[in-house]
Amino acid sequence: MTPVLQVSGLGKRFGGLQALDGVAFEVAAGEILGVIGPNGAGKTTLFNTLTGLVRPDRGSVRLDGQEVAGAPMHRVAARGMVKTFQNVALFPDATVLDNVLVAAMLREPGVRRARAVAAATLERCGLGALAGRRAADLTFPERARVEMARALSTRPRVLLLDEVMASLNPVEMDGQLALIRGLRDEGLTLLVVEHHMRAVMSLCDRVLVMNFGVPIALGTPDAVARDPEVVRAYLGGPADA
Amino acid sequence: MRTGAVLAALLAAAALTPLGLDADGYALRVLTTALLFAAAAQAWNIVGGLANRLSLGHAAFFGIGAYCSTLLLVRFGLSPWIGMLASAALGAGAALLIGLPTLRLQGHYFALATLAFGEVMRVLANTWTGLTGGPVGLSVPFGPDSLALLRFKSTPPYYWAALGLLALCTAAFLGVRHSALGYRLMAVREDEAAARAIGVDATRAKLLAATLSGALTAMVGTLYAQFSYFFDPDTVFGITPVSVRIALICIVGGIGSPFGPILGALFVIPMEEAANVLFGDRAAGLAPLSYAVVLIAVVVTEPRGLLRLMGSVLRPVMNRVRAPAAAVRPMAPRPGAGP
Amino acid sequence: MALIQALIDGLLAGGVYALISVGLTLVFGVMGVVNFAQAEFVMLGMFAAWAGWNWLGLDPWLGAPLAFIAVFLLGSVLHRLLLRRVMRAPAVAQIFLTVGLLLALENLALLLFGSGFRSVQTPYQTAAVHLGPFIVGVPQLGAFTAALGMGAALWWFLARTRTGWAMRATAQDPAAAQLSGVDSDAMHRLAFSLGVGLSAAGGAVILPYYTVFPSVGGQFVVLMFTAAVLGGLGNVAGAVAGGLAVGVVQSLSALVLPLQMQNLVLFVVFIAVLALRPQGLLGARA
Repeated sequence: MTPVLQVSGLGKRFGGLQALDGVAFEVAAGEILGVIGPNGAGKTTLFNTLTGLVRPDRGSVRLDGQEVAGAPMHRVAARGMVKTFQNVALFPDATVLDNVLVAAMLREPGVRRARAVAAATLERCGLGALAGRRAADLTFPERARVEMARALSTRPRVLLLDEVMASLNPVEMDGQLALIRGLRDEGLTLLVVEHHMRAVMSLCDRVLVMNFGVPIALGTPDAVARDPEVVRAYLGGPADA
Repeated sequence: MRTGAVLAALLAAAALTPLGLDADGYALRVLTTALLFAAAAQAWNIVGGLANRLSLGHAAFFGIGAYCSTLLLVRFGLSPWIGMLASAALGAGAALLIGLPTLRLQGHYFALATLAFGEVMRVLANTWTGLTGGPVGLSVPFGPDSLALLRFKSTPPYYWAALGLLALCTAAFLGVRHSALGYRLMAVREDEAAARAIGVDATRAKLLAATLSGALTAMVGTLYAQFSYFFDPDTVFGITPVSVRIALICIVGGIGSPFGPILGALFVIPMEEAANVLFGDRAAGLAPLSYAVVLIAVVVTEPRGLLRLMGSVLRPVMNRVRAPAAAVRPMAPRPGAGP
Repeated sequence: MALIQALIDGLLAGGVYALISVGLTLVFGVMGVVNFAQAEFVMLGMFAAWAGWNWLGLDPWLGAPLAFIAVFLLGSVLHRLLLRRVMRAPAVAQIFLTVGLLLALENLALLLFGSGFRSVQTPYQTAAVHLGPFIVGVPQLGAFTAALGMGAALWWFLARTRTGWAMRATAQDPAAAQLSGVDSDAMHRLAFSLGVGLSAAGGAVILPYYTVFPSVGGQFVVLMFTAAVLGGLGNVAGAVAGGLAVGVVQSLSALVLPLQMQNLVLFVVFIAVLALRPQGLLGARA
């Protein structure tokens, strides 16, 4: 079976900084791939390049066999690859429902149907109570969860989550983990950038470790945690909880 | 939709107004001019308010409308009603042409680029004498009253035509705002990168808004030409008389609201006239100076326009009116409110 | 032959355009505001120099420093009263404040001076220097030299004084500058006053070969904005290069096109730069 996502030879330079240097990996349908690495490793740049926010200098990104590298962002989203923003980029003056509605409009051209899909997605994510609230008035964790719901309502094939566990307490994190597993069970493929090691180890099928724009390990969480390269570059010791 | 009810009431009131005024009088002419520019400002509102792109070059469309219909009338005897449709098409085309390179810009840069386009049109109209008659301008031929030729001796028919255009532009504004396009424009306005990330074709959305705005503005230009009977490149393509005036009306009234252009025009146009009447004879420049000073004052005091200004003045009054007996509660911070 | 003469004329004119445009770009660089009224300050400078000549018998080149000071002070007042209030407001308020200023200043001049055309008479008005087969008008040469001098003074100020460094710091990173103890409000005021003062000085030095009237600013708007945008809005050195380029483009296009169309060429350049490379050919700040 063709992998859902095939990345090869991806490179991107910003001025003097080689942010991505020959990144390559494949993701199978229904897999959860974790992407970890020290700050500045290129994780967010990778997500930006995959979704089209940034044009790669070289390399190929194939989604369901179709080349999307360098395509404009809205077209990549239409093909089914969507990401969340690390700093959470909701539309501040709009309601939570309207935020999600716009995303739902990608698949439902009519406003009424899009609104219904948006409301359903919010319920699914446990955010129904927030629907009428103004996005700028929410707390950061609430906004992060809404952002994920918004990305979800575009009915993606591959969802890229950029640090969605940040600032969640352990109870909220467990809820988020359950949600993500549930999404995978429904057929979604996910790439997850995370700093919370506990989340990564328990959630991900495989982990890609990056350092200075270069992939230095790719394997199961256990294998990666024991890889001496990774330990040297990132963990500095046994994986912490 | 309360907005709709209020607008309908305003429309009815406005439609009846000429009946109480002198048909050939100054007041009705001023009101007609106000309605014309309110319509243009409402068309501008589609790009300025919904897409957050502040155009200083809408004179380009206005002038295209004026010249297109008048040239068709004078050269081919074509009715200005058809001329208006032709103007709309040309205006839409021009908006597409101008929009493609400029809509990716924002803020000051976009204002500069559109300003330049407006000026290009003005220079072209001044130099392409063979087509436009050059700096001398164009005249709409006089004659007996004719609906087909959009030509009347007295003001009320022009007033109602302008009112109709204002209603059309307002309907277009509201139609866009509540449509799928409106939601997409909202997303682009709030955060363009995030909008693109969830599949919004930002370029297409902005271009659609611009095209509609250009078409409507051109139609207003046609009616202006018919109402004024004469115009030249500086009058219909000029920065101050058209581009700045249209934008200022919308901003002073309240950008982004369907009431903004209406309120703005009813404030700005009569104020201009008042300044002319009070100071016009005294010394050249005093009238526009006083007008500029008042506008600066409004922009500096409340950048979001008169609507907000009125709102902030009226709200305490309304609160008192609604609960005269209850004590005024002190403002407590909302629980869970943001940083 | 005619080409080289046009080149010389273009460079001479361009030097002055550079001075005028530097003011515009300085204001944008430090404040982030495009001063749509910048050309009106050129007009004010011309009127100030004319007034100095008419009432004090001062040659415009001597009147230029006075024009600079007068307009500098005016700029200070305008910043304190008006511009300061819209620094945190949305772009729409900033744009329309300076547009309103444009209208106010032009009509104020109309009120004070009337719509008549005024010019000065100087002993060197028709004098020319011959460089081989080429002719260089003395007024133009003088203006160019004065512009050069003022440009050098500005460079020295920005590069060699503490205040100049503070201003550059504010332009690059306002927050960091403030954290280092720079008063950004004062820097804005200084930049604005300097900017409009320089444009006024530019107007003063070209008075010997120009006529002044309230709407003369309109003649410089295209030139100024094209020059600043070519070099990258905010980039002072860029504005200098842009000014020279605009002078040359204008001069060369005068060889083949009538006056009105020359401006069209500049407009096309202007729009093309904004559309294709908004950060300017010298690409400093985006």
